[in-house]
Amino acid sequence: MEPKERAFLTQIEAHKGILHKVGRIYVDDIEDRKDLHQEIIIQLWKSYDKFQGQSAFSSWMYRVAVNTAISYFKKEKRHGNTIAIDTVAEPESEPYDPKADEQLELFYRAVQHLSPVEKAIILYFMEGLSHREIGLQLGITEGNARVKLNRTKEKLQTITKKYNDEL
Amino acid sequence: MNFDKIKSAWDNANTNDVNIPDTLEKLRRAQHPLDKLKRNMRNEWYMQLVSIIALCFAPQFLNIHPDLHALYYAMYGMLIIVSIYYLNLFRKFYQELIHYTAETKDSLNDIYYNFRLNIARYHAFSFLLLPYVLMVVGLIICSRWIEQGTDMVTIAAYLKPTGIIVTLVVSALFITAVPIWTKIFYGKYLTQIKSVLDELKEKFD
Repeated sequence: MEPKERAFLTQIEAHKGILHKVGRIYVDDIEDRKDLHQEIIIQLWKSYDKFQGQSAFSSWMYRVAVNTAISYFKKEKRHGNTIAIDTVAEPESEPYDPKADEQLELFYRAVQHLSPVEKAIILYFMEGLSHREIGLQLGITEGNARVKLNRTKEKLQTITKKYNDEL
Repeated sequence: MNFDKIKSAWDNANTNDVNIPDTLEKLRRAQHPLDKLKRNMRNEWYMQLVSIIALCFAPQFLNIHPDLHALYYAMYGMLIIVSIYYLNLFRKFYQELIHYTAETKDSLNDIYYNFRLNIARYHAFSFLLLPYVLMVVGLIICSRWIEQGTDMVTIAAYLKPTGIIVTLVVSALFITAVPIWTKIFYGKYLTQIKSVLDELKEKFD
């Protein structure tokens, strides 16, 4: 294996949480998610020469991953919008908090009802990006990012309330 | 939903579902629509190249009369010039096309407009082939006439308007079929990209 490829795979391994999060946000089917992970790795490798180190590797990786996920449009929702909570493994390295985990699963369920752009916005928000940074990643103004984020959060609240009412 | 509470679970998420391969050789071929398009275009490029070379021998295969060979090769020369221009454009475009590193809006804009531009180029190239095909058909008919000792002046009167009508109908069908063909293959994808781009536009109402 060439040193460049080894360095690339090491960096991807160190940031595989990005693949996990983008996969969970954009695809609800486990097999489709694996496909998306692979696709993102392929696109990252193809764009790797363009990564100049001007921004953090994670920012660049997020951008390529989100752009790939947004324009992938493959095998949408094979099994509808539901995610079985009992199929999700418990975290190994952190103390297990069933309540927080349940909330996160509810969040992932609700996110499946968002548009590709709304998914990107909530993903960046969850990663702690400011309105300005979200705007820069998506190529929209800070004001537009703020408006869209507020609307997306309201939409998520409505969806989760509906879920809670159903339970 | 309390986003702050979810964030801690989000940050500590289990990433066991992500498998990073030992080597990149273990990855399958890219399935992104843009990569599929690039593969299709590369295959078409080779097919068109082979077809153009094969067309060099068309007068022999199609039994075009030797008196008409000069006319055929004049058309063939024009076809080669047009084909080299378009095939070279397609090849360069798809070799250079990598659009995932820019900010999302720019990236999608590039994909969308380059897709549309290339569909338009594809249409133009296909339409340019139509006169060539019609003229070859004309040469085949003329060859049969020469063999039978007849020509445009001596053929039955009803055949002339019939020939014109058939030519017009075939041309219309061809010109209609090419955009339909590209719409079937790329229309859905372009609509999806366009809807994302529309969503990214400023909306403060």
